[in-house]
Amino acid sequence: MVKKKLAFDDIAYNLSSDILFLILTRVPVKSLLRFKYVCKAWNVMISDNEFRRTHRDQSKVLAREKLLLNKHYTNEFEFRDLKTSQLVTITMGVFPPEKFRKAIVLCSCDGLLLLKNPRAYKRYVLWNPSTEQYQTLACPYSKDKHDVPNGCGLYYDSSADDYKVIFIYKQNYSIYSLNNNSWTEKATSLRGVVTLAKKISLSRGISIGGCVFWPYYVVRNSIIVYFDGKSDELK
Amino acid sequence: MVKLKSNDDKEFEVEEAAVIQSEMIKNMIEDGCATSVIPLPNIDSKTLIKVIEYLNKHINMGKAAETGEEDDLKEFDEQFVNMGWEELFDVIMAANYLNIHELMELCCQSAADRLKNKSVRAVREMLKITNDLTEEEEQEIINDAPWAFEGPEIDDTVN
Repeated sequence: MVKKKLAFDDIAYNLSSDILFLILTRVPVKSLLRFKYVCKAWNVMISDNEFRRTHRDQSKVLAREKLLLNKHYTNEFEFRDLKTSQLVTITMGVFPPEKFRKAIVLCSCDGLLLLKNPRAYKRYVLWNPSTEQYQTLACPYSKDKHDVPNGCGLYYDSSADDYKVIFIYKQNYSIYSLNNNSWTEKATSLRGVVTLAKKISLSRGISIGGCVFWPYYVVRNSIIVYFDGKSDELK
Repeated sequence: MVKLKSNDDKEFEVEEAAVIQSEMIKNMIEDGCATSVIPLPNIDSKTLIKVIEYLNKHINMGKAAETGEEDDLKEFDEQFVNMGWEELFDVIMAANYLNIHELMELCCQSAADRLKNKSVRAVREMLKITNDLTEEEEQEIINDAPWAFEGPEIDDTVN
């Protein structure tokens, strides 16, 4: 016998999948990951990309955002609730893979973190602490072996519904797309970028609304270099 | 006054100011289609009474902030969603059909809060869902996020 009955039919209550969708997008992540186990239809719904997007936007509306504190040297992450003024620690966690122990946070965007091993310049990782999923990134090809990135950032590209990582080098910049798991390289031409590139240490970007900003201090001046994710331009 | 008729043939009179919180009825009134009784074939009288109670309380939402009635409204909302699953789903379906955004938000959030932190067994029992996953699928889900199945906050009670 072919079993093709949708699980919604089994629900004694007359509840359409549209309404279930609206309800489940308001449930916190940890519960949701467990609720995949409820039945097939729930598993399919919760695993869907559209569901993830809506859930992310809904979490922002509900102000369910957390403050992340990274304790250097112990490699512990603390998550605190911003809703209550007392800042209660919710969870303490350690980033899972051994290679990235003592990793430092370079940039964060919508609860996604870009991490780096402080002793290596070639390996980076993207981590989502609420689902504990991670993706390691190999550094993009560079002509000069000793050329290390001078700036980096993470942003959300709403036009492609994709999270992207940008690395700035002396001569060019590279963009990593999480959806495609690939890099694209572009030449830089701006003077501001050149000054940024002169900085020896890696500048950590601040991600706001699809753009990444790098504050940079020159002797008597301060400049903000930014990358606009919509137009793919450094300014 | 606007007249609404439930699917079990009961008529209810509601003030226009209250009923226009429903986008659907508001559009009907604007289009001049609400001159006589508006039949609501998807809503029974029990549910319609609840919805009208909500509409009457929320009649002057904008003014509530000025007159300091916000707390009162909040208390009403909390009391309002204090109902069984079946009744809650009926109200959600009605709010969805009538397109009453605020009521939809309130009820969906209430449903989500009830499900939050519940164990899988509790959710299945509460919503009367039969598990239809194969063993392999179950194992895959657990392997993906074993930590989601552990923790002191997981609540196995059904209420």
